[in-house]
Amino acid sequence: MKSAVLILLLTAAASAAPPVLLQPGEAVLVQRCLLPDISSRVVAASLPGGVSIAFDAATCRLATAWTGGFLDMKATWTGRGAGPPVIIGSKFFTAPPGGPLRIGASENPPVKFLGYHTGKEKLELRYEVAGVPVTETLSSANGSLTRRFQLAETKEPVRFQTGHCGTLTAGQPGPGGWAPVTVREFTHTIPLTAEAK
Amino acid sequence: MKTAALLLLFCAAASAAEDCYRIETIAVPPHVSLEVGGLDFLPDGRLLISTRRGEIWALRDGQWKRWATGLDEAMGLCVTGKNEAVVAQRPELTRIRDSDGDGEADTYETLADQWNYSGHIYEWTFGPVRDAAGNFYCTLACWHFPKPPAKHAHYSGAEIGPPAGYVPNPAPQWRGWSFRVTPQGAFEPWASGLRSPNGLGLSPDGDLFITDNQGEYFGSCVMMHAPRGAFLGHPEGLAWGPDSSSDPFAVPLPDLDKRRMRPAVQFPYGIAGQSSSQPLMDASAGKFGPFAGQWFIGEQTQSTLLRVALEKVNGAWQGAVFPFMRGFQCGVNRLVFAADGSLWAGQTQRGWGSVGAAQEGLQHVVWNGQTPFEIQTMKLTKTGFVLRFTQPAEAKALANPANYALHHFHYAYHRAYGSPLLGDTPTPVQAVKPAPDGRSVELVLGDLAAGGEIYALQVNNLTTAAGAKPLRNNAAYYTLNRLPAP
Repeated sequence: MKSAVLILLLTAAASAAPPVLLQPGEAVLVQRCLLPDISSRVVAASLPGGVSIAFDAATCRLATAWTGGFLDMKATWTGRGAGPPVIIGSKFFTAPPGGPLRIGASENPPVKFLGYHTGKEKLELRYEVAGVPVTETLSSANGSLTRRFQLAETKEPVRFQTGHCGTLTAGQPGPGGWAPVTVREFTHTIPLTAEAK
Repeated sequence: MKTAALLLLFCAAASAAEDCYRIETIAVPPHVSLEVGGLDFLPDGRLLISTRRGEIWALRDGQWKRWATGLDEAMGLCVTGKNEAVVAQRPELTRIRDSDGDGEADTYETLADQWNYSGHIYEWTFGPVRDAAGNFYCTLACWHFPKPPAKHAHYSGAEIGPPAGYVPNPAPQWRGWSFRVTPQGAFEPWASGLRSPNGLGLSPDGDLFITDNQGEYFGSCVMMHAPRGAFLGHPEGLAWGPDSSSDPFAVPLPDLDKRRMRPAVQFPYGIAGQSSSQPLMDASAGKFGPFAGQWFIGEQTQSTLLRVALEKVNGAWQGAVFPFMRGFQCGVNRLVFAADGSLWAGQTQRGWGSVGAAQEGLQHVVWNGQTPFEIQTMKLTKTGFVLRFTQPAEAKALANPANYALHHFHYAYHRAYGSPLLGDTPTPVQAVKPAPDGRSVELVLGDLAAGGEIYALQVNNLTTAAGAKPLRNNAAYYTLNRLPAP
């Protein structure tokens, strides 16, 4: 009971406090956090060029991307953590459910998040899909979000889900937005016009 | 009433003799929010400071540089190399590296995340500490309210609601457990029964000790020996593991009581601690005073430092807690010794509350080289205790039974939050046997009560043989789990 009252008080305090904004800058800025509707294990990042993204480390899926700001951490950094961060800006990309890569026949391949590397202009996400190491490098320039994929060698068939959005260097998406991929390096470029610009 | 009086005595005693140790407050740049979650030194002498806001700052010679950023409540770190540290975040244990040596980390490698962090406000990950073989140990706070996690994985019916906007994720695992991650990356659940275990420490022999906080199933704050496979008291963790229960809160309390391993030390609540944080063994080999091999314990609510001297009796760790130092600017959350033997204390009180006006910060405790007059150890005998002092005591006062006041009490092991102090019983001193050198005295009490009884001692009117210096702290609290073997 005491804890419940405390939480309510902290929530109220969080509502009254000014925002605590993480601002996009000239270098990649990462913030691990819980984001509503995505995951408790998000890698959020603001990229130079005006794009922010949220990558779910639990499913290894770029869940959404937006412009116009990054995150308000006010609730998270109030009290014991009265609530999750709030996305600041307008979304232009929301991925369909599930990860973007299918390696092998399974529609639900196992994934494992391995970590990330930050450069000044790029965020390099590292994970495995069906045991195959994948590097997904994110950058933003010229009014678009670029996702460059590098896959380790595999004999299994590979498909990529574009979400009916942007262009893919590896081929044309077919039904459901899926494109068969035969190369081990390709790029998915998403313009900032999809949902907002 | 008795509690308040004891606290006043402790405060008076500690403040009277802070001449041997001084607290220096470190100036923090205004743009740095230093809610300290972890402390450790890089080999080149930079102090790394992780924060609850997820940054890691490097400090050397008054110069601050942000070493890493973007972590999810970094409640501990352990330096593992020239430009490398392993950090506990809520969702994972992460190896962070400054791979190009420019003073700013760039590589974040996930070492372990098997507990499936679900986003609950109380799902902290504490640690890590590392043993000689390179294994990391951490603890996972449980939701610590008496309902089985498996039945409310999405918070329905929980006493404590989810954060606003929370989206159900797969049910968390291993809450209330400590775990080990091997150098090869294997995740191994270690010991269960934890509640909000905000502190880990390893002895040189590899014994893991964990502090935990008063609440359900913990009548007061504790320091526990945590060998592999131990159950330490809170049933939530029994939802997982080799002997898991689908409804651990339905396990009868007497069964839990039989199964649990009792805390090595209990901190009398409000008297000597109210919210225990990190235990750190004094490995300074005398550079921090006459307490080598003993433990210093951060105290978050009362903004103090406590000292613990353990002994192994009849196969189990137990021992005494002593007040050590008060007057920190706010809650002491993390500790680390520097190479020169001084002690750094990282602090925060956001959301938890503590004595002191500051919200956060960093302070430095320096010993001036003069031996403080303290009760160095309190050890159990078959009929009482032997007190050893850091300096010879004045012979007449040392031999006077009236100068030793003892009583004993215990706390309930039950589902309710905390416990009143129970069974408080005066313990007359039957005889006093001072050592000829004045460094120790045996107190004969007669029959002793084991099973977690706390013996509270107050020493009055005792001064050093030379200089008539009073005791710096005159109280001790011994947790008696086991009597010596016959």
